[in-house]
Amino acid sequence: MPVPVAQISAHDLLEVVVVSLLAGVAITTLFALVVRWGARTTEAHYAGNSVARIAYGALTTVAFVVFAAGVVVGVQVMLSSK
Amino acid sequence: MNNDAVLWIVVATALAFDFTNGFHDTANAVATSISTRAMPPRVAVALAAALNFVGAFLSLAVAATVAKGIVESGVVTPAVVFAGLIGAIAWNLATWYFGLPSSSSHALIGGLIGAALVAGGWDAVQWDGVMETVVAPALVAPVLALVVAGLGILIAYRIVGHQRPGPVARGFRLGQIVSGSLFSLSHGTNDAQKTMGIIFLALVANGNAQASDDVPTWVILSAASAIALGTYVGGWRIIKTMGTRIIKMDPAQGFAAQAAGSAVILSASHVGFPLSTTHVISGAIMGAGAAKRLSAVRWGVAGNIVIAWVLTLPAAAAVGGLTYAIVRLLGETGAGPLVVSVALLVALAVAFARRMATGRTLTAEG
Repeated sequence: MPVPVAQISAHDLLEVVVVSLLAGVAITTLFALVVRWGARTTEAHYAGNSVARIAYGALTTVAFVVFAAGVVVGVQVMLSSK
Repeated sequence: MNNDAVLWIVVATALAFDFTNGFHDTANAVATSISTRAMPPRVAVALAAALNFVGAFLSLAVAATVAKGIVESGVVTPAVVFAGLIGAIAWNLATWYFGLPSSSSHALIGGLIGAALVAGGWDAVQWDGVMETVVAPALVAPVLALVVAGLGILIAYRIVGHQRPGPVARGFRLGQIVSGSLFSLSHGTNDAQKTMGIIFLALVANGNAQASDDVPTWVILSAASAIALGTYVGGWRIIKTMGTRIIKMDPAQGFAAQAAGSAVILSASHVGFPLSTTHVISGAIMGAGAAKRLSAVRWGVAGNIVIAWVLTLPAAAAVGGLTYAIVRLLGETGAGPLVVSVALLVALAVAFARRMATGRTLTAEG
C-alpha cells in the first residue's frame, strides 16, 4: 500500500513566495535603517551635535528593536509548522 | 546476519550521510560571513554547528515529508535505504572534491529513487510526490531567493547609499552575525530532518516502527549531532566557491543574501517543503550580486553550479541503483550492506593514505 504523499498545494507554494518576499525584504530594509541611523548617530557624536545624536540614537534603537522583534516573531511563526 | 544488524548499518550510513550533509553545506551558512570578514572562519563554523544542532530540534515537518511520498512503501527495505544513502554520499563527496555547491537533499532523494527503481521498477517511485515535494520547490527556491535578495539589496543600497563606507560595512558585518545565525538555524530545521526522515523510513521498513509513530528522540538527537559535527569540520572548497567565486561580496550583499535565504528556508519549513538550502543561498548570492550589476556575477561559475544541480538527481540515482544491484547480488538481508560498507571504507582509507603520502591531507580544507 502506498505511503500517503505529503501534499504541497498551490496555496502553500504561494504562501511561501509571499511570506519570503515580505520577510526577506523587510528584514534587510530594517537593518539597513539601523546601519544608516547608527552611522548618523556616530557622525553627530563626533560633530558635537547632541540633539541630532539623541534623535538618530532613538531612531536607531527603534529600528533595531523592530528588526529584532521581526526576527523573533518570524522564527516563531515560521516554525509553527502546519 | 539478522535484519537488525542490517538496520544498524543503515542507521550508521544515514548518520554518515548527515555528516557529509553538514560538511558539504557548511558553506551555505558561513561562506558569506567568512568572505566579508564578518566572522573569523573557525568562529563562523562553530556558531553554525551549534545553531544547526539547535535547529534540528525545532520542527519535524520536513522529516515527515521526506519519509513519505517519494517511493512506494512496498519496495522500501533497509537495503534500498542503504543503497540510496550510498548514492547520496558518493555525490556529496564528488561535488565537494570539485568545490561545487550541490543539494544534499536532492542527492538523498535521487539515491533513494535509483535504488527503488532497481528494486521495484518504474512504478516503485511516486512520481507525483517527487514533482510536488522535490521538483516544484527546486525550481521555485533559487529564483525566489534571487528575487528576494535582489530587492533587499537594492533597497539597502538606496538607504545607506550616501553614508561613509566604513561604518556601513561594519554595521552590516555585525548584522551578518544575526543573519548567518538565522540561516544556520533554518538549515538545522530543514536538513537534519531529512536524515531523521530517512532513519525513520528504515525503522518502518524493518518493522521497528509504524509509519504513524512519532520520530524517536534518539533519531532526532543523533541526526542533530551528526549534522552539527559535519558542519564544524567544514567543507572549505565549497566555502571558497560560495564566498568568493560567484560574486565578490560586500557586507551588505552578504547580509541581504543570508536574510533572503533564511526567509525562504523558514517559510518553506513552515509548510513542510524539503527545500535545498544550497539552491536557496546560491540563488540569493546571485541575486545580491546581479542587483548591483549583472556583470558582477561570474555566470560561468553559476552555470557550472546549475549543471551540478541538474545532474544531482540522476547521478545519485545511478549510484544508488548500482549499489542496490550489488547489495541484492550479495544478499540483501545478509552480507550485502556489510560488504559494500567495508569496501567503501577501505576505498576512503586508501584515498586518505595516498593523499597523506603525497603530503596533502584529505580534509575539508583539501
